[in-house]
Amino acid sequence: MADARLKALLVDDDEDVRAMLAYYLAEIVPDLNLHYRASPEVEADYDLYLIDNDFGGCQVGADLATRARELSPNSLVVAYSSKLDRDLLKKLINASCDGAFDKADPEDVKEMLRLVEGFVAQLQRERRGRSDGPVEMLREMGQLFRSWDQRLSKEENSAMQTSRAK
Amino acid sequence: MSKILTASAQRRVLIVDDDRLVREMFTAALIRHDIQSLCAGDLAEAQLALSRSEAAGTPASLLICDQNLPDGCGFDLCATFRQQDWPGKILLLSASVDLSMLREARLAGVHRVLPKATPLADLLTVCMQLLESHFQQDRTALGGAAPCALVKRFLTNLEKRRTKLEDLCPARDRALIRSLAHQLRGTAALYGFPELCNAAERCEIAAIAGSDPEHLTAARIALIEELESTGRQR
Repeated sequence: MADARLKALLVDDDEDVRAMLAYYLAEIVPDLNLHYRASPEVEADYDLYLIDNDFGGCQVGADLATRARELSPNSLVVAYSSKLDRDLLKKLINASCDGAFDKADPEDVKEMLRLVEGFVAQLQRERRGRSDGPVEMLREMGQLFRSWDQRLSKEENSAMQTSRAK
Repeated sequence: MSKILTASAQRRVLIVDDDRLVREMFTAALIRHDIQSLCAGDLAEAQLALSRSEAAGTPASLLICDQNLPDGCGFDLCATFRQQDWPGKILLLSASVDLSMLREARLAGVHRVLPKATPLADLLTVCMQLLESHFQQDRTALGGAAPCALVKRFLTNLEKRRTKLEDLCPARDRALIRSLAHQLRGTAALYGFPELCNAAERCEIAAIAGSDPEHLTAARIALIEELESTGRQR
């Protein structure tokens, strides 16, 4: 019988990060079918991708996210980094990430998990045939865009203030 | 290997608080949700209650514990239960909650820490969430682990990170040092070690191409020292 569980791929070369994120994800989705990769590779047919941006000093998050989106267009693609500045944030969003987060910021990690939780709830409703369909999805996408818009504005204002101070 | 709890055990709670009114309040609230509870006023009673319930084949799956008890602190009880391989969830209640306390709670195997002033409805919501969690040991491809075990493993792994950093030469391996520091910064923050995170950040900044080599040398040494110091916490 086919495995109906939600399937997630965690791509990170740090075993401690993989272990902690696996724990958090299991708290959200106890029967999650979680796989991981310690090398920067993604594969098709996952519902959820969590991707670290940095592998051995190389920033590959955007490329991995783009590839994940190509392979699984309807999945949730989330990237994270130990340091998320304005340029990286823009790059990851433009690479079709549904979210980009700073794993060094506990509030950002919580936000990332909330995003995953919301997506999982939506997917489970769809699979049970109870989704509001496109309207609800559009509403949630709208909220996400507003959130990223505010974030980018905040980063840009901060950069401008720094520039004026110099 | 952790014990697997049966379905019947999943809705039994052990309440440990020296205030009888608090115990009665929780008991009454939980029974309205069809959840049975055991009560204890101190560490010794709690240990006895757990032993008896396990012997009866109906162990508790959730511990609600006050941090301040007559014969010890909540952390002591949590650590004792974990040493006995008790696999249940732990909710700790404390008069004040801060970052160092949260870190210590994680090391003791606590799942949630809430202020004692939290409204009862919110406390019950958290209790329900904890009770509904699964207790399987191997629930992910990585192997499930309680927070206590995760943090201990992270602290043990710091030795490997320290050795890698020690083997690198600031003059020759600037990019590698930066990469290691960058990775450690995020991981240390994720595990709740802000001093280590800050030391890693300073080292990462010092390793940026073109910056003062002496500054990098000093930052690298400081990070190695912080790794040693943090690793000793295990």
